[in-house]
Amino acid sequence: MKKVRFPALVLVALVCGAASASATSSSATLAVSVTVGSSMSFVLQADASGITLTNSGTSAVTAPFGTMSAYGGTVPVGVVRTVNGTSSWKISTPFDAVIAVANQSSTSFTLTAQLASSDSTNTWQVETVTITSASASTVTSTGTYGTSVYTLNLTIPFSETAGTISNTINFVATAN
Amino acid sequence: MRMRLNYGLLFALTLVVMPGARSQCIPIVCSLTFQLQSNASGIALGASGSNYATAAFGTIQAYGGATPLGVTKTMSASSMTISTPFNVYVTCYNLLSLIPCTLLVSPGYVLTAQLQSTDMVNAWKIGSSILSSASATTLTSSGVYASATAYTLGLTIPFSERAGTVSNSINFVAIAN
Repeated sequence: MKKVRFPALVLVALVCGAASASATSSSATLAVSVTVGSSMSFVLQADASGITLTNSGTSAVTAPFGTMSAYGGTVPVGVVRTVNGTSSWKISTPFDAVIAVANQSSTSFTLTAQLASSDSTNTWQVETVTITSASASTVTSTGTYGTSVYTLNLTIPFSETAGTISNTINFVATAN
Repeated sequence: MRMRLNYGLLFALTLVVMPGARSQCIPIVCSLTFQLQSNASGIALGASGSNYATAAFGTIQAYGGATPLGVTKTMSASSMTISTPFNVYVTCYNLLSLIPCTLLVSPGYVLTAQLQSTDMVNAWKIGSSILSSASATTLTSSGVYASATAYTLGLTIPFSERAGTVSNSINFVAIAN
């Protein structure tokens, strides 16, 4: 009788002996590293009071004024036409510059603008700053991040031959 | 005498197969292995297939720049989140018979994750679970053995974070049920 009980006792002990032991576990580690670079975002978008920009919300937009004349004709929605005496006329429209910064301590930016092509006849301005192709003009040196409204002005002398006027303004925002 | 022997064996075997008794038997018969593996859609992990893998994202910036293969970058108004899937592979083997424990004792495992170092600036997630260094976060209570299970690591970096290196380690623990 004793010979029979022993194996059963051993088996029970083997199976149940770990009841008070800690649970079986295994571990692993994932080491993660990221180098965060500072960056800046700059997009142009149509202003609610301005002309509709093509590709608004991107960094390459188009402002198509269509056909305009000093006297009469149609003035696009969002565009203001001003006739300056008997010498020139000006078309103006506001647009938005949306500039954001990430992972740097800058609180303001400098915005410059420059014409891509020389224009010795017409006058291009952003706000009151005249823009040329010769060098970048500073529009502001204390720009505030977020959405800012600027006004594009194009003054066309009456001496300008009728036809298409086109140019590109390159803007650069630099974190201060 | 023979009757008493049979009852003894029956009792012992019942402990093995009855659900209530299985967890008591795990520590003595089951051994877990844990591997972190690259996911086919994720970033390539260093030392993939081991229990100490590395995820090196390189240089990432909120606006512009390159995003590594297998990494997704999403933007909000004030932060960017980079995420990538990876696989967890846990096996459980019976030490006595070298057959999978699922056949005898353990139906699955509990998986937890914990940050090794405190990070007060950035937010670390596995799936939708937020990780911290304060305590372990349970990712699942029903992990399946011998199945590569995909989890997504997400790291949200606010724009207010200074440029530089963000690093930490995530400690995973699998515990047999």
